[in-house]
Amino acid sequence: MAWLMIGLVWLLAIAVAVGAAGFVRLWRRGAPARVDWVGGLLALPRRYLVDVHHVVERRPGAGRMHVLAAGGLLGSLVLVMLAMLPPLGSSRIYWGLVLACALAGMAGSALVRARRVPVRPSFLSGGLFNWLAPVLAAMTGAIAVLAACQVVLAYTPARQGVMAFATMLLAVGGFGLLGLFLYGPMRHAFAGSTWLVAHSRPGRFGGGRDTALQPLDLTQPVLGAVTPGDFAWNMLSSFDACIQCGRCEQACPAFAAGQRLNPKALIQGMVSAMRDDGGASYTGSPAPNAPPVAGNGGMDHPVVGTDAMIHPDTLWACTTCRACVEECPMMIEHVDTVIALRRGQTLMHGDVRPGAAQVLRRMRDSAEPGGRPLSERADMLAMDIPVLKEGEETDILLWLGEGAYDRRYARTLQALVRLMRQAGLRFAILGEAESDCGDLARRLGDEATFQMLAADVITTLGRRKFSTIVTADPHCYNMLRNEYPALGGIWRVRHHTALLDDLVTQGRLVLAARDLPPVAWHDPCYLARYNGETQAPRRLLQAACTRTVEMERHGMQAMCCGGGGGNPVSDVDAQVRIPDLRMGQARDAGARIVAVGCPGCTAMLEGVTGDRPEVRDIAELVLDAVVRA
Amino acid sequence: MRTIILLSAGYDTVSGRPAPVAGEIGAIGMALALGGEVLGVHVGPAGPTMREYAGYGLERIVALGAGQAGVVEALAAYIRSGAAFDGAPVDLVLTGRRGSGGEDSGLFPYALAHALDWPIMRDIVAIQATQGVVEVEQALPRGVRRRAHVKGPCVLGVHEMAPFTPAFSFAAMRRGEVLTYGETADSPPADMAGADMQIRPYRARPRLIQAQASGTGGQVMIDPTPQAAAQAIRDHLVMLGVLQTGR
Amino acid sequence: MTRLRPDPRALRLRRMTAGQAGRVRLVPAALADRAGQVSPSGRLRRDPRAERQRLLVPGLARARLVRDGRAGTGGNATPVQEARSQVTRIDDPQCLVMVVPDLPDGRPGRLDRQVMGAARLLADAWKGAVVLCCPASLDSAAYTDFAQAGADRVVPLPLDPTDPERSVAAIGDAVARFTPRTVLFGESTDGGDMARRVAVATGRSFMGDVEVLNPRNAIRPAMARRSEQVASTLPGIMALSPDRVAPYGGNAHEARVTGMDGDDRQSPVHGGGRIRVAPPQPGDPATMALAEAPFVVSAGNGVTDFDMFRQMVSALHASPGGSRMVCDAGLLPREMQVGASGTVLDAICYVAMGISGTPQHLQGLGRVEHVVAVNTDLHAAMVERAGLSIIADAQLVMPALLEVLRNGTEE
Repeated sequence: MAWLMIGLVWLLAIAVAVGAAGFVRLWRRGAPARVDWVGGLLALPRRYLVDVHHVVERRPGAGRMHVLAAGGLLGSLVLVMLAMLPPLGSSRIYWGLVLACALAGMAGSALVRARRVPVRPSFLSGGLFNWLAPVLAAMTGAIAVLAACQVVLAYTPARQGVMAFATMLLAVGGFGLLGLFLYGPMRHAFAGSTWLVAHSRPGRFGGGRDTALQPLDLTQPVLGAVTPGDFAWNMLSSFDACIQCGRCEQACPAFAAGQRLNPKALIQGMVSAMRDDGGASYTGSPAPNAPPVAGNGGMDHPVVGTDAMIHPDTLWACTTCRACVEECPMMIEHVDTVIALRRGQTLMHGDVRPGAAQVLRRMRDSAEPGGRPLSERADMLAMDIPVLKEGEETDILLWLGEGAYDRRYARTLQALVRLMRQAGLRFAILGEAESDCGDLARRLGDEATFQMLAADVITTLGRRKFSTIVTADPHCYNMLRNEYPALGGIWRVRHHTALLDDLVTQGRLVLAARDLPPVAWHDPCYLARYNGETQAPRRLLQAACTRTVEMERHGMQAMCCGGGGGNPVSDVDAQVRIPDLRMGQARDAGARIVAVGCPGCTAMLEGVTGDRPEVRDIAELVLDAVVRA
Repeated sequence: MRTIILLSAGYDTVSGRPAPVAGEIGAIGMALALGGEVLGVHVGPAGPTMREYAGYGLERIVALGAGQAGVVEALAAYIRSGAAFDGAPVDLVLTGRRGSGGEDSGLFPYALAHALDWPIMRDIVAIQATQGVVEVEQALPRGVRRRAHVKGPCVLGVHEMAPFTPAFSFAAMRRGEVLTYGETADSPPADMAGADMQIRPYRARPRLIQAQASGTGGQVMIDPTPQAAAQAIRDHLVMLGVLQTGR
Repeated sequence: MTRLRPDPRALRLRRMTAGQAGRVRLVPAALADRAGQVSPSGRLRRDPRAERQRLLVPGLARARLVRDGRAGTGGNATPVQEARSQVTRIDDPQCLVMVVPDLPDGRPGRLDRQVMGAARLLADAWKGAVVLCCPASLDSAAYTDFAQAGADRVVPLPLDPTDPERSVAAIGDAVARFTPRTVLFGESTDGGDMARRVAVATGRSFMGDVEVLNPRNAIRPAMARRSEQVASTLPGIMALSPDRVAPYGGNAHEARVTGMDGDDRQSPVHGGGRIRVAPPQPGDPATMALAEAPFVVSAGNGVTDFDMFRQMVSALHASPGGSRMVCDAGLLPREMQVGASGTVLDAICYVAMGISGTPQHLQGLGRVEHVVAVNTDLHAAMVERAGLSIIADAQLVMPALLEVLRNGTEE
């Protein structure tokens, strides 16, 4: 009887291997990807045990649940398979180990079940996911009985009956597990491992950061992704790796605002599109208010469209804030997925929202998203700042960005210029030569316009000498620092918070902290999550104000203002506005002033009406606190 | 329907960079909506702007060399020759209101219509073609519209407000064909300056004022009864002439 | 000398409080002139007629050029009293300047008067006369207007509003008959169209979008408004951009009706019959593009009952609009959003219900001439911009306005 059970486990292993080969065949229909197999395989344990579990642990209890359930099940199954070896099969110590693993798995399955009791939280999925706990319990339970029989009941008369029961339980559980592997949540075990080995951004592991969008070769026949088959195969494996834990959904600002995007549903939409299963297998929360789609799919069928799997609105609701990516325990690249699909829509079909089409046209024709004359960029500043001409040289090049056209944001830049003057820095602006850096075009998927604008910027900057670029716009900062190097533009780029922090630390600016009402720092996505800069602004704020508070979501977990990724120009219907939600969080934290460091955040948060905390740029707060030497 | 769209190598009014002209983009959209065969024609060398027009869904563009003849004559001869659609006659010529980057006088479509002895209408926002008669809707300021019947073939200028902006895609831009026709050795573009015509940088000049209230605030009623407020608004609107009374 | 010069001493004197010598009253300079227009409760009352008067050049019925954006608030120039009873006759002109006005509703419009002003300027410099072409079927009052506007001759022509080509033929005949030194049109939809038609039909040199016109030269933008063309010899046909030349404000001219008789020339242009134009139809305010709408009523945060709002807008025969806030919330469709990120208006009148007026929203008001604000906040930016401001709850004013409008229609 024991041999039968061991055989069943082997059979299950073979079936799983066959099923896994099926997944591999499906993924191989995707585009090729360059993967460092040796490095990836060697790094897998570390990536799994350290990087993945670091994220898993953020939800209390989830780490324990996963260690027990996954460790228990996998450990007991592997050990049972090893029982083929005669010395082990007859060892009580060995079977004791199996029993321990199986009991751990049972405890884990109880924890899995406990998450759904008394009611399933909205962020978790139902359907086959409801069978996860029973199947795990059956498998580990059967193995526990087997092991217990081997350890203590070896020669008792009851053994036959108990073992028969355990064998049946194992058979049923094995079937269930195979089903869950082929069609349900257990797929993530294999797909997740594959994805961790063949991740598209290996730089993210080991505490690193890799957020820059990759340049697109504009001579390829298909630009971006239109069908699932246009995605690189490792991206396809990442979709299968999704375990539908719903953390992305909880972090997503567009989802919170009812904006037709649920990152989890988006990834599952990709899974459904790959298999053309009509989307019926998805049982989690849908994208809020998204109109129904026909649900047609297939590896060669378009993904986006009302006759396909993902509604176009879903695509344009994304603010590219990377909150979902930051929270995903499987390290799935939701934003890369969105950008690939957007590139397909924009470059191949020109199918963007009307507001975005207008902005893209202005960027193409006027090199400025608002269609405003480049010569008027610095007008709102009304300050006499030296303009760096071709062939000239300065220390710091101040990149003004799109915000300079805005009257409100010009005050921020004025404050920054005053501070730089007080610190005695030598700096200049580009004046009329500053054209748009192309962030908005790139986020909207218009890689062609972005590369055109980037070439202009690289030429302009190549004809001037400076040691550092400083900008108060985190979007420009991210572009110039992270995304231009791939195109040949390599400079030292700093955000104004880092510059001011240095000046204060070096004593070149002396601050006297002012006794203001509580101030909270709102981390811009493109500064914190894209560039990891969360400390400099906080140090700066503490030097400038006596009372600072933190919003619940801050630092790498901060919530987006709603201004990124072309969301504002794409006009996706919403139930509430993202900045209103964010301002509510600031209010809840007791903040009376929200300190910002981004023109997008400034505009979005200033747009919140009613009684709300005041919005001040950190440069303005620092200027108020500066003590003249 | 065989439609020719006149394309100009435009410049953006803000940046001065080469860019397509709004009315001509609308003309492409209108031609595509009408269906049938569509050809873009530009008299002059094929610059990068022609590719951008292709991005709006124009699959074929011909860059016409004017040779020794004048631009209008060369184009009229090309249209009459039947070379555009393999010998089949042209039914419609769509243009923008005016170019952007050259003389921008808006006279060219008229000169072409005169040379072809075709009727011309401009500021078109809607079009329907049936059996040799084109029914168009013309936009006048402030939302006023006017229908007209034009006996084809004809030249039509598309209004910038025409709701026909087609989608732009890089793939279409990459796909579009730009062919050259006629003598490619182009004479330099007609010199806008002359003995009694001088070209110099544009200088914005003040306009005559409208009789309008400036931003120093006007009449303010604080906490009136809703009825008094409503009456005041009504009277004010009647005085401004935007609210018709009596009917 | 028509340009106003502020007199700082006089301005300061006017701002002094009576009785307390030397103490300056704290009245914003722009309001100082309106001392007599304050209501008993201290509220400012506007006198639109007086404002309009202030916008005119003293003694002349033409508007002043604005240079600082604060037109009509000076008012310290001495009006020149000038009789306009005399009629100027030019019997033996050295040349002719022809004008083809649009005549909306059969009367010279704003642009027509400006074109006439330009023609007068040229004719006076050249010792010539102004010939005005008009449809044959006009009432006598129109001729009085032509005389006031400065026409020496009036030529009734068989102009056909349903067929522009027939009108071109008629105007072409008149050009052939009178051989004017130049022919002026207004750069309007119809005027600009007719000017170009006549230009190609007669083969005369043409210049449209003329922004500067005087006897020495004509200037127009070219090359995407980055350059300008300066013609030192005035072209044979010109179309004048709106609000560039002041209307004529001097003595009336003769406006003598002159026939085309004695002209046996064959018309050089096509006889028409290929185009049939129907009469203009005003757009439906409810559906027209916001950018074109003449009268827009917008809802903001202060409006909660959108059924009521829609009823009121339709009773006003206005186009509905909304603030970003309202459109974001899905209460009105996105096409109705007014502002920098929505539509920039070209309306005559804008009514803002419960909109405070963020800078982005105010950018959307563009060239709107008249603004009415209903808002609970006296210090809202929209109130600053408005010609009439009601400091009250828009929710309460809407039903009252609806009732007033309905009662008004019953009367």
